[in-house]
Amino acid sequence: MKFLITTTLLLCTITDSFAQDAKTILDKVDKNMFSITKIIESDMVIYGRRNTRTVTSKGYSEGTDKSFTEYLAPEREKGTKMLKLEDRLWIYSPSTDRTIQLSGHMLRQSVMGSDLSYEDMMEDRKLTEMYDAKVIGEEVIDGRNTWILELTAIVDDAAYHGRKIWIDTQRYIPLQEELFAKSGQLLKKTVLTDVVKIEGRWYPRKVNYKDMLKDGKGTDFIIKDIQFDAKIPEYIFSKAALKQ
Amino acid sequence: MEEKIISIEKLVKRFPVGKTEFVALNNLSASFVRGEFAGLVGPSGSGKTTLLNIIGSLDTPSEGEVHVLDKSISLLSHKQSAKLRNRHIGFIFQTYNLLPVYTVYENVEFALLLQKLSGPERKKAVMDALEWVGLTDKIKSKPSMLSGGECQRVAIARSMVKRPEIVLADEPTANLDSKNSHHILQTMKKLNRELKTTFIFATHDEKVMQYLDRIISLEDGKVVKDELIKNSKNQ
Amino acid sequence: MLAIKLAFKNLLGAGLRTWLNVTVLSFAFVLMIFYNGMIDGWNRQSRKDTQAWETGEGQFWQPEYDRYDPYTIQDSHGAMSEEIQSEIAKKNLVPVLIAQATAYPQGRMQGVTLKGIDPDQTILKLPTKALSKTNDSDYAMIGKRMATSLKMDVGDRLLIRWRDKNGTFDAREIEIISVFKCDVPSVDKGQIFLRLEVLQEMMGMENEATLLVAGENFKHRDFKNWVFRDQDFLLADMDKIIQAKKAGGTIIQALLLIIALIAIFDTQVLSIFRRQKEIGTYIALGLTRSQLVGIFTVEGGAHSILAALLGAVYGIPLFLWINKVGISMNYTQGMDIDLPIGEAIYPYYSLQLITISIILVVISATIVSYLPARKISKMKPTDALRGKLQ
Repeated sequence: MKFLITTTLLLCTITDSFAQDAKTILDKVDKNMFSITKIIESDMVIYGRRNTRTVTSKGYSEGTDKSFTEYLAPEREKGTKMLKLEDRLWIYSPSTDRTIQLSGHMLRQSVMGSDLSYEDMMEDRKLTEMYDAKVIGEEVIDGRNTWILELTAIVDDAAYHGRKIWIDTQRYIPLQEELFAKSGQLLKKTVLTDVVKIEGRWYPRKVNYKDMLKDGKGTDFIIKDIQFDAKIPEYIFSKAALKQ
Repeated sequence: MEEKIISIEKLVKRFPVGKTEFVALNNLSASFVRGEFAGLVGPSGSGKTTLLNIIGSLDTPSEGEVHVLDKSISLLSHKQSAKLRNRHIGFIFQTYNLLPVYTVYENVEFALLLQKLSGPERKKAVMDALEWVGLTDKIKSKPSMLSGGECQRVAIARSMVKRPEIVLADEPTANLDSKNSHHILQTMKKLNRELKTTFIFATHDEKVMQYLDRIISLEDGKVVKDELIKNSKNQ
Repeated sequence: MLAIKLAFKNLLGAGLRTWLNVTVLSFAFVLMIFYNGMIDGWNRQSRKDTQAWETGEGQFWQPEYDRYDPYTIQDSHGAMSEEIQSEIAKKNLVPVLIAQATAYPQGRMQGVTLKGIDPDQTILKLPTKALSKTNDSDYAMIGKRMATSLKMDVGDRLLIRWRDKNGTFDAREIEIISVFKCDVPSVDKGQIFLRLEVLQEMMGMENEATLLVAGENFKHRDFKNWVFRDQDFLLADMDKIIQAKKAGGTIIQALLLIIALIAIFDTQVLSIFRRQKEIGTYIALGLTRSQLVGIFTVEGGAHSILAALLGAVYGIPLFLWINKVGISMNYTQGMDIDLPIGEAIYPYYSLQLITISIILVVISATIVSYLPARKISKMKPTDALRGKLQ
């Protein structure tokens, strides 16, 4: 699910009239990557100081509002399920056989020890509502030409005051993103790689998400299998599904 | 004119021995008057000590009546019998039974501590008693530092210090040599005369018998002979 | 009176055996007083230090604030009214703003608490003056424990990241300008002190604070939207921990006491068996059996009086000496103890502590003396005189 959210975060449509170029670019990105539903099986690789953990999960999503994730491995996390409906998040833990709704400070906690917080996954306001975007240059990354988009917060309560996004000029997919503090300090960086064509779309199979203030290699999300616009039964996005 | 201070009527004392009973005193009757210097004699097991114990209210009759100073021994409570012993009866034992951690003075004084006496009164009584037995120079000694004869003299002083009506002496000379025996017997005889204290001995010592003016012979818990004696040493 | 006199006579007369019992009992006694005195001394010291460094004469808290729930900090800030401002100006109150942040020492990630405080405050012992040396907003002060856990020293720079009142991330590098030494871990561990206005600016919380610490001259009154927390409330948990430590020590004390009591019990049983003849003699001399039970009980119980005296003989000089030099707690410096602990503890012996200890020892010694002494009341005097009892 993290994969879903991280990518959708980057794909919010921009409607700002002062940044026609940026808007056009992001619109195309959106068109390329958007699908009504997705079913993704992925590995989350968490690089720790001493060891590396891999968490496997299967996620179902519909638009940006609804998603459901079930963890498959390791044994300790197996059977844990997560449901997001708009701005609410529930977690079911099989060891306690309880469903809890995460709220407030709990959303700031890390997801399974990764570099990503629940809150990072929850943000689903459109970037254009929160940021002023403009193209500030071009760069070649891994042999691909990209535009560099700079986003500056126009609301008070954006978690990150500034963002920079690198977008492939031919395939219209994001390849890299940086998140900045108010002071301009680089806080986090996302790198998207292994871009392949799946069902006629270009899609990055690997995303690395890293807290830049901390040592380490961050957290990788690797797609093992993805289906676009598959039929997902409605009951999947209900609290009842958590306990099954 | 002779005041009867002890009277014993048809006294029976039985002790359980295993499943049966041993009859220590068998239907014994006797009486004593004030100022007697009497002895219970007889072989071991004849009931001498048992009789002394009952007179001293250390034990109670199985049957019969024992009156000491007009008090029935069988009817006394613990407290009353303790009071009787404390005020009116002195004991002298074969083994002296001095309290080892006390000095001579304290051993003698002990008997008076239970009585309401002022300090100076008590002191005078103790010193008088020690003077009777001739031990005023040893008041600070502990019993372990004294000879057997001296110990028994302390015991006599202890029994006499409260000026009891009756002194019960159980084989007082058994552990003493002849010289010491005569010495303490003379002391007791002297106190008997001067203070009119009644002495009753349990003994089979010939030396003691020389001083007695009455000998009651016991056998199997019965009085077999009760005679008044006139001899050189009891005058 | 007679019984007491006799008891001591007999006890002292018994010599070595008595002194062995008395010595063991006096150890129990001295240890009991010492241990509790140490804990009490520690407690007093802790309370005093905590008060001086942290709690002052009580605090006003924002209603949501809970010091044990860091998640309440986010919402625990409020504006200071003019009334409060004037008390602050008179140095009767010192405002503290608290915020949560993440520090990144040497590329590690560590949760920290930021505390904004007026550098010119005089209410708390915190050496906040260090923060007033410069107007530069990037200076911070930390305690020694924090310095150790961050592996930082004066002059080192530390990157911190926090979220302002709107939740927007911000990050900044600060320089450690001073490291203070403090016996109270709760004002040190995990905390970074900044100037109040710096933290207010960082958080976007101008003129706001999380709590107000009252000083000695503060005349108590209530402020709207602030909850007063008194000393008892602020120190309650510390008291609880110290009480728990006290309870832990009772096991050793109880063990030693029990050994001493068993020795007394044993002595009593033996003494009653061996002194039958003496008991018989006492009865012949006119003591009642209950008087005798009393004498023997007092005799056994008097072990405790001798123990108290003996304990006093070596205990008082020992305690006086310890109170002069203190009990060195240097070995705890590197340890992770959550209670304020100085370099040395000075035990405090209250009259109450000593009285309770004496009463406890005397009563327990008397009880164990009484139990075997009861046997006397069942003795037949004639058998006792002959030494015939089993």
